[in-house]
Amino acid sequence: MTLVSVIVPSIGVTGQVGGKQRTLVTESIRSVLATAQVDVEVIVVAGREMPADVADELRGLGEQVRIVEYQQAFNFSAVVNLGAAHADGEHLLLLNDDTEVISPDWLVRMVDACSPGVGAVGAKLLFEDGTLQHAGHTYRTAAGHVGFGMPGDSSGRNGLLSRRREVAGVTAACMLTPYSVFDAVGGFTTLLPGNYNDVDYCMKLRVAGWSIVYEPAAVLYHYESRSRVAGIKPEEIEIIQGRWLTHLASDPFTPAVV
Amino acid sequence: MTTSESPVERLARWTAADAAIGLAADAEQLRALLAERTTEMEDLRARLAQLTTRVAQLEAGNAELRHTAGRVPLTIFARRVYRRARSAAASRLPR
Repeated sequence: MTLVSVIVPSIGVTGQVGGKQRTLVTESIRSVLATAQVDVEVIVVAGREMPADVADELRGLGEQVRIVEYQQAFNFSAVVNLGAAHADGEHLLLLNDDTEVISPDWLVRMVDACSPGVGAVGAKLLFEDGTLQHAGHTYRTAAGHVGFGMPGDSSGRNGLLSRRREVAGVTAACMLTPYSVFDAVGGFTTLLPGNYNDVDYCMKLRVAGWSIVYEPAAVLYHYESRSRVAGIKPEEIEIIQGRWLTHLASDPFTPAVV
Repeated sequence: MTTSESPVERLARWTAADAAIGLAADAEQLRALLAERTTEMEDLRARLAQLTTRVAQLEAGNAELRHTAGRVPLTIFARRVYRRARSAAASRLPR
């Protein structure tokens, strides 16, 4: 049976969800363990800021949960790579710690969507208010989320948001990728520590011939603030455009109007 | 999955693989930029040739105009001389 290695970068922050304070990573992993209908191991890559009580709480979630310590300055790509380097699964599921599973069969659906030739599968992510945060990436004039801010149950034009389909890319907030694929392209580039590392990863896959698939039946909350400012640095734009500008300039999968 | 490999070794291998892919991607983008600029230069050269031809046409036209313009005062002068001569001759005619 397929083993999925769930990799969760975290520093153990708390946040308000539904008016209640919670440790985001703990609840995220609880929801994963409660719904995973495939074998999973959870690798929490813990930054040095993670409180000891949160680490203890995570260890108490079950023997499938392991903690790998990351002691360097924050670099999302390095964190993901470190988790993947400790993984034993055939598939890697990259998951932000501020997520929570909604659809019970989400992981089965994502694994099912990961057929031969597919390099990565993304989920439908909703904000806490139920609006759409992510239904695949679209790269045209800039990297953006398909259907961003639309009602979470919207089908979109021609059912774009409600059917499994190929997309230009998917967010690393919830991304399933075969270990063999991750291994072949050298994981995430550490040149992009904050932004665009998932865009870069998806471009590496597409240029190498793998496709990227959006799976709408896999639905999770992503408690990222809608008003979050990405804080994109000029050098990040320079790197992503330096590598992929001609590929980013067009999106053959998603029309301009969704 | 290479089970005999340590996490550190895996990370090192991935760093090298990513660097190689990145360099190839950078090179592809540079080649694309080179091709784009070459096309732009060819377009500009074609336009330059069109403009050069047009300038030559205008210069030829101007030369013609200049030549014509140079003849205009002589014609007017000749006409004036003719009119004065005719007037003088007419004044000598018996009334």
